[in-house]
Amino acid sequence: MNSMKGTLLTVEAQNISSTIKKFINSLLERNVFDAVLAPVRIPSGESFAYLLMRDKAVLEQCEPAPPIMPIQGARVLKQLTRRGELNVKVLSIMRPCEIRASIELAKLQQVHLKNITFLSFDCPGAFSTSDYINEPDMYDVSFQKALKAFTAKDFRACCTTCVNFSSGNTPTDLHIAHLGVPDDKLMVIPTSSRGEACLQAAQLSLTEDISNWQEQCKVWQQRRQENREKDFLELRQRAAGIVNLDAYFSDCINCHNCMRVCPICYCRQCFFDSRDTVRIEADNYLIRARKKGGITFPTDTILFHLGRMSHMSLSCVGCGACEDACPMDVPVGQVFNFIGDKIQKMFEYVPGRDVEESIPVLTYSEDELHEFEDARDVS
Amino acid sequence: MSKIGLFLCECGPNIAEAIDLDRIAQSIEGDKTVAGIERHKLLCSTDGKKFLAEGIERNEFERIIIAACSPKQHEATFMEVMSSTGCNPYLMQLVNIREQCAWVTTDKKAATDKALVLIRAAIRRIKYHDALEKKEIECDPGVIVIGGGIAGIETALRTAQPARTIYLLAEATLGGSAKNVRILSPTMRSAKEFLNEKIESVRHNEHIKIFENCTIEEILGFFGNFVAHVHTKDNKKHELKAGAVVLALDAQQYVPHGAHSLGYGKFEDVYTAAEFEALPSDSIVTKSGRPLHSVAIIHCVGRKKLGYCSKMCCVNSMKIARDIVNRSRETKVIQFYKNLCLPGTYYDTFFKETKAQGIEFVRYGNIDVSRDSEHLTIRYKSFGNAERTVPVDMVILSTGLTPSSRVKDFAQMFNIPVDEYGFLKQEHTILEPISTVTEGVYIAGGMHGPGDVNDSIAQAGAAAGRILSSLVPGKRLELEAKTSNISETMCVGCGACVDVCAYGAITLDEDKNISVVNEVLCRGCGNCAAVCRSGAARHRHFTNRQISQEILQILE
Repeated sequence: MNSMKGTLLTVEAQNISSTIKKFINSLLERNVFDAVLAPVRIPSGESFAYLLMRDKAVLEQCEPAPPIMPIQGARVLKQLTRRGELNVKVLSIMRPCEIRASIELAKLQQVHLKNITFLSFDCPGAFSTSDYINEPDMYDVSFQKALKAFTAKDFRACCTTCVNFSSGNTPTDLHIAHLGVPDDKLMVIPTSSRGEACLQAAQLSLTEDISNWQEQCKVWQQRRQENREKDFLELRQRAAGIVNLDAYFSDCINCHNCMRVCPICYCRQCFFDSRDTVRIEADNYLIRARKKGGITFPTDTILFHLGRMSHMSLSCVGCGACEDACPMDVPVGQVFNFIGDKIQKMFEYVPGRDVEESIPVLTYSEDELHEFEDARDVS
Repeated sequence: MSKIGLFLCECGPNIAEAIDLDRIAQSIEGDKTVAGIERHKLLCSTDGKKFLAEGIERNEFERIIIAACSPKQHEATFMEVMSSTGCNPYLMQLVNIREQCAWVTTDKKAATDKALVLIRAAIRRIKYHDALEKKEIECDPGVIVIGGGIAGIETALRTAQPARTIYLLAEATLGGSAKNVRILSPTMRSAKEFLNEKIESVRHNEHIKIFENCTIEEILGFFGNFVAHVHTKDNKKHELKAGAVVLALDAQQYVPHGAHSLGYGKFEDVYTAAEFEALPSDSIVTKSGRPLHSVAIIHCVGRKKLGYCSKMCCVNSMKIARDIVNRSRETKVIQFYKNLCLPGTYYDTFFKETKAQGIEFVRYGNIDVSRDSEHLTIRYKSFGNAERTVPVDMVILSTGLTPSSRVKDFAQMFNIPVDEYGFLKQEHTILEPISTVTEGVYIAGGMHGPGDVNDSIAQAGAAAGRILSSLVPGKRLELEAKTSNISETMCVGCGACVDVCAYGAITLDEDKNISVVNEVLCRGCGNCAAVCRSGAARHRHFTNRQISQEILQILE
């Protein structure tokens, strides 16, 4: 992959979606894939769902780059491959964060990647699902603009601070670039040998220089990094310490939606929904109430979030699905993203970057984390 | 609710002087959950154990807390007493008020307060202890010994007895690297005689079955029940069953190569120590047949490359020097050494005797070997001195030992980690030097580091001792009860526990998509329970509830 080159697709009538579909169709026609997994608009028109398609006619309905992410694609792949490898070739069209989450799940045997080819695109971000369903038409227009401008006023906070919006830290196979590409074009870049083979099969020649795209990616990474640092600084002030953290999560109604939509939360049953926590005798609560002067119900709100954080923050890809699903608009994704960033840096780990890279909690290294040996020095 | 009893041990003056046990007894007396408090001067003594047993019986305690020393020291002792009274030994909690309070907290009041908190935590914990039962399995008392060298032969000889079949597997013929040794140090006895005696007794032992020139294809199973598939030269396949495995392959002689190999492989009359010893015994001459006037033995060859001292080569060099002089009085032997390694009580004498025989010792900083048509020339520089040259007829390179090329295969077969030099890792360098992380697999000889014949024999004996005491013919094998348990309903089969299990005790059941613990291999370390995010893996004696109740009490 040293001398990466791309191939250009011409966008007709400013319709990016139909251009991508045409390209996918050409792959299907040449039997490069047996099926496609991609988002489609649901009949109400207000949201999207993933569809596994074998019929080319159905492909027409697909929306390769939808303006929202109501379902994290990694959860879909998990359902599809949980019991073992696929024996047909599937092209899976996803945002980079969905692919990275899939890779994390593959490390945990929850997704099997064999026969799956990923197709990603330069993701400018996504709108909040609850915003979108109120005014889908308006947001559809904004998103088409945002694909080129790469920014939109109402993108979710997790998206505006995302630095892995392209194929950089995402082990995708085929990537559709629009950053740094002329308005009437899209560029397909093979990012793995599998991707290269696909393009060869489709008889597309790789001649286009990609340095413009790379340059633009860097520019946006820089901008996003600045957003990130600014947001993290604010977050630190807002959420640091138990009093602030309590206030941060005070709107939480313990619905556990954030856990249910999180691609990384893969336990069969969460401890916080288990009989260990739901079947506690009143006496026990009374003892706790006596000690603290009172006890809030539902209980253990902060503990739930901290517990989830300790379990999954090393693998958190910052997709923001949790925040999108929160009915109370608790900025849960932002704080998970912030903590994830810190803990991942500690182990020089980027979740989803490489399927061969073991999750730090599963590896033992004698020589690490000396800074924590004397806990008193930790500020 | 079962009756809980508390025993306070004074540990002589150790605890009694540093902690106010009267105050502890008074404070606990008000606790209704504790049915009785007993106190003794030294619970681990014969008298103390009797006191403990009688106390349990008299008070009809079912669960007990002992506030005494570290569980590492006497948990097993007290569990035994517990069993002798008919109680379940897992319904006991030992609170370490000696190492954790008496010995480290100098202020008596603070130490007493701390002890009290820990005892209260144990009282709260013990209610949640499960009466674990030890399981037993059928086992084969036989032993598979891999390696036909001294270590392997000795292990076979020491474990062979009626009702116990020993399979001695040698990938070549019996004897191993000792076949090429002439003389043993420090006795200067003939190695051939010694080895032949050993081989004879192994061949005549009816309990030992020898497989020479065999290929070990695989060994499956676990402690108590191993199965080896062995292929012999006559194209026969054998399935051998045994309860334990001893890895006893010899280490290999380091062979000099690369830039600074002192003429090895280049000049005539340059040998490694092992090669020299393997020469026909009458050939105390150069390759061209000239008598040997002078021989140089260069020490520490490859020492830097290997990165460790092989500890046997200095003495081995002296032994060779003495053997040469004994056989050919006129030959002058010079030892070029860097640092002499003379471990133990007898090697210093051995060194003095060697010097007394007229063998010269010269310390070198740098050294090189060159050759003209007649002679080899040693060019060396001692520390701080000018360069000198010495002509010699023969050069013997004293090299260290490297791991057998088969180490990595067996490491993989038995899930044993390998150290940075390629030797097998012992379970613990000090506490478990002949065991591996895989229960029932022991190491003797050169698999875990360099050593001499004495080491091999000592290790073989140690391995034999472990096997004889744990695998008794006719007896079933008692398994660790404090093991891990994985809930089938909670497990999502992510394999995290498989990755962190150091004993290879967990496997993924591909059909059910869940992890399964092999209770024979599990040693109850708890790694799986710690890493399992689903809460499926659980340590039977360190359950979430036991730990959280203990912590909650401490925080109260």
